[in-house]
Amino acid sequence: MSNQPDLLILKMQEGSEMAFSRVYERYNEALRGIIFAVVKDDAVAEEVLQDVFMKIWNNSSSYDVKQGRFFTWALNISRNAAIDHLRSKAHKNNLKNLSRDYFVNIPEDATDEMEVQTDSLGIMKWVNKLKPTCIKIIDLIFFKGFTFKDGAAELNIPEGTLKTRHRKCVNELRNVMGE
Amino acid sequence: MIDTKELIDSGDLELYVCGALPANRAQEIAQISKQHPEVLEEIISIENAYQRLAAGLAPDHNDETYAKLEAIIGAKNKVVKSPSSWSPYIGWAAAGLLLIASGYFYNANNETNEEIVQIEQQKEFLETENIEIESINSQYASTLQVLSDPETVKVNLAGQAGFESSNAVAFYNNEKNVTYIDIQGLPEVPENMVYQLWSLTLDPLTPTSLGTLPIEKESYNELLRIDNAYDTQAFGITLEEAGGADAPTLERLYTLGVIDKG
Repeated sequence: MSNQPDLLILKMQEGSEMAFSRVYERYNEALRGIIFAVVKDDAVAEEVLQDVFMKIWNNSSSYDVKQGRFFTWALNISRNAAIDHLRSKAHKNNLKNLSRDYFVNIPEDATDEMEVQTDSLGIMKWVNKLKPTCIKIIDLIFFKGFTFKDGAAELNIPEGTLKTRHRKCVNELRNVMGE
Repeated sequence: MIDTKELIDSGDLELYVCGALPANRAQEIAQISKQHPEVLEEIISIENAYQRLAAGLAPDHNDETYAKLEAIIGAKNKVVKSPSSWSPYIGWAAAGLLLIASGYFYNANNETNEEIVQIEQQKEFLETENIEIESINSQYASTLQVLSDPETVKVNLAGQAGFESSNAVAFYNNEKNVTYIDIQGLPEVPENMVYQLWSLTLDPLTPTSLGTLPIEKESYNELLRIDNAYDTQAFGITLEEAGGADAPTLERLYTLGVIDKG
């Protein structure tokens, strides 16, 4: 377990490409996964990821450690870029993949091509142990980027309930990951 | 005082990592996490779980994306692996072989040189990083030495009328003539203003300036070291116009703390 690499992030903000490459190494897998969960296409995910890291490089100075985690900042950029892509013209010409929520459907998709397509074998054993409500909550709050107010409205539960359930779900996830 | 267990149990830290909190709440948590290691640790665990979950969804890929990024941002010395193209020509004339082979070795040599340059750059970078970490470490070590000295007294500077939400903490060591001050609990300095630290003796109340505090917001995160050879009985922080004042402006006395002699 380690904290975020503040020094590297600072060096990147000062324009060090070497620092950028190490920030990439550290965060690219997670951001790729988030993007993929939204766009559901390998090649598109790769394109969006490239876009996201260009934004991280070009706008690195707008990250402020006093506002929150670097991961959270990068997560926001990734979700927005992925959602922007879905709304874009390029995507509308190719709508066939939109019908299903990727993360929510992992358990039932386990036997079809999704499993082969992604590295989801490891994640399968975690996700399968989560309650369906947890999968729904994590999908909304983490992958879809709902605020807890909007998430509560979407799930039709009080905000306080969403907060505590979300915490329980993340705890469950941490347990099954054997943290 | 913040109840960190309550904060940890509240579910706010999970939402914080996901970016699902309003900006002002996120800022508060960022601030709290700097002061309370147990909160930071919990945040890191949540973040790790989420990073692993997301990474588990990532499709297989090759390294092309980084190479493209590198090309775009203008990184130099990209190593291109050249195919061993001389072998099909071996049956050709000796002169041709020689030409191509020398070309190959020229390329290989260039590549090796490029790799060396890259490795050297990386080494240089790591060394700089190392030096910085070492210097941060030695700062920590000397700070820790003072903080753990039995002679060091911790002084809580409470927010004063009008500035109730401000606070600061001083660590005063009269033997070593040094004071550390933590100003994370002060609001950001308005433009053209500066915080000034005062050493006070009571009865009669006599303020002595210990100087103005740095205005860069980064320095809020560190304990500031201040030479202080005075027999301080209380510390006060006022907001003054840029450059500081000769006497404290009491209407802008943000925090005040008396040294507990008990």
